Amino acid sequence: KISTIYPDGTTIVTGLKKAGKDIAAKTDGRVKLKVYPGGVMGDDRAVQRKIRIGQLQGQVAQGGAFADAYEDSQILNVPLAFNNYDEVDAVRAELDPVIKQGLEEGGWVTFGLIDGGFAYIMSDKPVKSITDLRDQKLWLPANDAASAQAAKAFELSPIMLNIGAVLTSLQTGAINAFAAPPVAALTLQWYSRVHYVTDMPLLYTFGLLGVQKRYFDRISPADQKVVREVLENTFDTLDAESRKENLSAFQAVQQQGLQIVKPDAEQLKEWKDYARRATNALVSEGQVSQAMLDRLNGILAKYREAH
Amino acid sequence: MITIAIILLVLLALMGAPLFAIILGAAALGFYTQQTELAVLHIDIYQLSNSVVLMALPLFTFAGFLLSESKTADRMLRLSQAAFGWMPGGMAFVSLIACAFFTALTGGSGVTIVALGALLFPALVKGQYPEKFSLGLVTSSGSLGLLLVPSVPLLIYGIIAQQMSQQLDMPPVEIVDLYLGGLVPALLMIVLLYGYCVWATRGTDVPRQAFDFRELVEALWEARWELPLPVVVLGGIFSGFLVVSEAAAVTALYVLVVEVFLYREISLRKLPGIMRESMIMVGGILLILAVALAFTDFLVYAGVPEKLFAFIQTHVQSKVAFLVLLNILLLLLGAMLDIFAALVIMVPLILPVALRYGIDPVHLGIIFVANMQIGYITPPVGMNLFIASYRFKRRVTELFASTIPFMLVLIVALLLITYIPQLSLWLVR
Amino acid sequence: MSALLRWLHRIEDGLIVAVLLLMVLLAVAQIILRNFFGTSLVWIEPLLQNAVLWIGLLGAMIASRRDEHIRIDVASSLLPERYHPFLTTVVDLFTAGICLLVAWYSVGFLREEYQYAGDAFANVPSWLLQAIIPVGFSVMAVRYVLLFTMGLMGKRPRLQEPHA
Ligand code: NA
Ligand code: NA
Repeated sequence: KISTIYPDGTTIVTGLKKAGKDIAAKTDGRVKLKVYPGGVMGDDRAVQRKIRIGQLQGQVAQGGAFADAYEDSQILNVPLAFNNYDEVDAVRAELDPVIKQGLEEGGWVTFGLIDGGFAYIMSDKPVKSITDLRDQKLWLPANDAASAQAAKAFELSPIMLNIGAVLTSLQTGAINAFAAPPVAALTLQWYSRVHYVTDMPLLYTFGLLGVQKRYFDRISPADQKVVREVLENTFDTLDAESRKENLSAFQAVQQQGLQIVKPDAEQLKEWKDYARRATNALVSEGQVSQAMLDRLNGILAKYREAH
Repeated sequence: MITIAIILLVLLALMGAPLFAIILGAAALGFYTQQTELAVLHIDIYQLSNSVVLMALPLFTFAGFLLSESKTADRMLRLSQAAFGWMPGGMAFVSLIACAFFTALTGGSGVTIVALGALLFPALVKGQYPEKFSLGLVTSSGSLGLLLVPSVPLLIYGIIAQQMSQQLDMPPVEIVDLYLGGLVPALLMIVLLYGYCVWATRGTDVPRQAFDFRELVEALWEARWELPLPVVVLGGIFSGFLVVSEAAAVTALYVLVVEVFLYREISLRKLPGIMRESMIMVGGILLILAVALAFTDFLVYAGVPEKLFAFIQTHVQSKVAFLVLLNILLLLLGAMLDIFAALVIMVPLILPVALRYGIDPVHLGIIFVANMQIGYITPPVGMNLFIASYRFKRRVTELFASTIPFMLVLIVALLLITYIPQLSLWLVR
Repeated sequence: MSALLRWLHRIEDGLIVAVLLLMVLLAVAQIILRNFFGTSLVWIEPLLQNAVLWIGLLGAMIASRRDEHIRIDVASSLLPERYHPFLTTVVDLFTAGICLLVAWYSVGFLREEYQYAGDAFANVPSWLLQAIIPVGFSVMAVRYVLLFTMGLMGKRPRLQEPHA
């Protein structure tokens, strides 16, 4: 029994349901996968409580939701680490297995990452520099320590609201800027209340399915193998499909009338400086280890040299 | 075994066990059959702290208690009399308007009859309206503002619907939309009731009050501090300056300052007592809401809404037939259940089914509350009948008899609201 | 015993008034910060949301003193008064049992939350905010046991509709 906030009918939920059928068929019904879509089981924290008592066995969530089990799983979420998807792919080719291993040691069996796309700043007024952003009423999710910390490092004074209040607050002008992957901005209708999108990949996001190991271990080794096979294949497909959706969503928000703005070289440098500071803060707070950060930078340096 | 337990729970409910204990019992039983550890009850109850709008409930209720403890009702009555007393059936219209406003301002917490009834009933009788007519009018108007902002029942419907909205393929249910949606139906009820009042008193010679401009100005001046309140609430919410929970906070602070420091009708020493009393009522409602979250969690976890829909679908084909069934069911429930109980038990079950029949969730909310409003004056459990019985020292049966014509008018309004969705939706969609 | 109860009453009353006042003031402060200073304090929102939980349980605890909870209550209007003590005895015992059940599992969960989960926000541990749930249900359980014993002695307050 797994929970996800992705609504019924989305690629991910449909894919998971199909995987569930395959697994049931291949294990003669010994293993069943029941999906509770759309966040019916509550937010991430409520779901993790329910997993703890065994009402649920796993969840599909943003990578950050599993940071407690393995902190370096957040390495891909470092602000402004990537310039484009090719760099993401180069890093993921090497680090995906490491993250998987780390999470498994932390008690979560996972089956591969799903691309969540880059989060971009979308705003009422054009945002090219950090100063531009400071002049906007920026939304950040309430109860999210990581983004609160990032805001602090960027010297922003954001407005914290629950995700459910964002659309209304955008309508009323209580907030007028946010950072989100275009797919989210589209499905949640947020795009309709802003005019500009800053073409700068602020943050890479990804989702993953974690099944708690103590529940996974209850099924026989042979069945475990089947489950892993089916789900890993499913997630490979989902990852590729999500990437496609994320790329086309970036086009779609532009077609919906959002204008693209791009920071100039100097502004970009300022962004990167602050991002480095934010990253260092992550390291010093123990959110990401220095070793892992070095490894990320190593891969990126090597890739950038070759291309 | 399970059947016996369910029968026991129903028996205990009929014997008068607190509703929260019954719902908890049902949820615990359900989770037990699903082999889920009962710590899930704790997790679900803690979900109470996970709503952005729920804060509005204690705050609006507190403001409502403050208003009913001060002389707001007198001022409102004087003002509406000065403004509308000259109309045919003027005093009846005054009753309708004053009740609707007071109920709206106090969030439909049942204090309208307590605060206004004692003023309106004698005024109506003195104005030579028949006694039975007057009793019926006051008793049935006591819940007239339930569809108006900032109605607490609509708020609760919205909270439940929002919790379910992500799981279901449905348009978003904004609290603001519910309040907008309730406006025309509420006006329709007032107009129909007023029409009936004029018709019912057509033979009798009810004297009208002459319009006196001076009196109107004086009444306005007397209510000068309370008059801005609807502007604060409505303006704040609909201009988007405030979200609903914030409008509630501003309302509470504003009413507190007005009644304690400007009108000085509530002493600082009495304030903690009023706060406490209002929060006891809120506690009762929140507790039921919390355990209803647990019960809803069980229903979803066990896949009950899907099964229910499959069952209904094999028997009911058309949307109209479903709506007929829904109205009958809700009227029966409204007769037996308290409005909050009916909401928290039925919305999670009915909303997903109604959506599949193509009913707009905002429209459904209005239908729900309009039904429940009638439930306030139907025995055996009719809050307005009870309160009026306390207040006017009449037997519940006598009061019920006097409300029957008004109830019929309200049912006509309900049918119009149900079968003409545009009444609820044209301001919204 | 009665001195202890009086103490408990005073704590409950004081807490619920304090939480309500805090709620009004913090919410208004947040509005002012947001609309006039374009910022907001991170901890206000979660604190307000948890205040709702606290008000709910404190109010429910106080309502249990005299059994002023919402009920359907058909039997007491149909049956003559002399059967009412029987009704209340059964019902009180059931209610006490259910409250105890929740309190029991709630304590168990909270012990785990104490070990595993960290802070809900700004250094406020998550278990502390949730502690009101087992406390509330334990107090309610005790109150219904008291009502039950009072019922046996014929001193119990009558079944009543709340806030009428
Ligand atoms: Na009724
Ligand atoms: Na009722």
